[in-house]
Amino acid sequence: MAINYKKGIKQVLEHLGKNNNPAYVVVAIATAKGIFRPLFTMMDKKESPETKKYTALREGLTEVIAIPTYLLCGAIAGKGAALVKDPEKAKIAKHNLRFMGVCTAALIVIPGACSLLVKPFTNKIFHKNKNNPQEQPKLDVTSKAVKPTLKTQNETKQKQVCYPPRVNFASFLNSGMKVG
Amino acid sequence: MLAGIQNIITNPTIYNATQSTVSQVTTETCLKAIGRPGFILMDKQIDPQTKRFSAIKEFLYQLICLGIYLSIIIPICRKSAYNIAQKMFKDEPIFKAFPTTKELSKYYKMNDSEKALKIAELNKTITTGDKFTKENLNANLGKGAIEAGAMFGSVTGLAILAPIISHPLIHPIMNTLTPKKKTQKTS
Repeated sequence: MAINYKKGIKQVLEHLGKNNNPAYVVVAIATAKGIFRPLFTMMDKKESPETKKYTALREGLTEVIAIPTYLLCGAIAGKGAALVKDPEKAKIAKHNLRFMGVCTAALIVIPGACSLLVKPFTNKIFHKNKNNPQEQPKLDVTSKAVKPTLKTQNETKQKQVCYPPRVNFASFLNSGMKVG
Repeated sequence: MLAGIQNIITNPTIYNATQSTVSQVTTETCLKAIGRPGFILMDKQIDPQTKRFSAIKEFLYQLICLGIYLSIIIPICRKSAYNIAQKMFKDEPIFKAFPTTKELSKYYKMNDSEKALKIAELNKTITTGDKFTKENLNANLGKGAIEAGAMFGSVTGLAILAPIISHPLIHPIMNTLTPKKKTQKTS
């Protein structure tokens, strides 16, 4: 079991030493970023839950797009090496073109694909109601409001009662000149 | 035109430089450090002040990530991975011939005649046991161990450690770079 395990590692290391495909490292970094960046965002206690969810989804989606893009761009660019006839030069060309493909993916293709796909997707999930204002629930302030009825002048006159002037003893005692 | 493109594509210098994981990641990070702020500055929908601020922030982030990656993570990870491989494959002549990563990297970049001279030089030091030959020195295994270490360092460094370290560094630098404009904005 241990020998097989060592043999497997040896094969992987030999392959890596022989052919270090430029896509390997970027895919590994993108995979780790796809796991850890949303995790760190969700652990942030300062942000509101809604913002955290939105950011984490955006970060995760970016890396989900990045992984196949790196692989595809590298593979497609590498196919250009078939145009070189010399087998030794074709090997060099394949590696160099793969590297250029990965660089193009990192610089242009992934930011472009993200701006095209990520924003509409997250908007669909988090801002469903913003696009359809009819579906938005409105505050019902008019239907349940009670209309105040205005009284006529006669009604107010009938109910008017004249009270005798009230004498406040407390104020009486406190008024006047104080000596001592 | 086509011959020029072919010359660039089949350039062995680019091939040798991009065989290493460190140079691949460094090139990509440098491109991101230039390209991403460039794209931000080209955006016409954002106001100039915000554009400048985010472009500087992005540039600084990539620069700090690269600095941390090259100075701390890579030297440690490459050495550690090579040491682990040395312990794991004790009988492999490549690890006996080249005890450090520097020596192996030098040997890997040599051409056939230089390699033969190096092997002859190594064989002079051997008194007992099998002698080194080009065939029994599995250079790919040693190189693979170094690259695996660099790859592990790249993943842990750029995806986990660098963002954590750079986050508290960026804000003070940004504040020292743009202190007056911030106060003007708030007032």
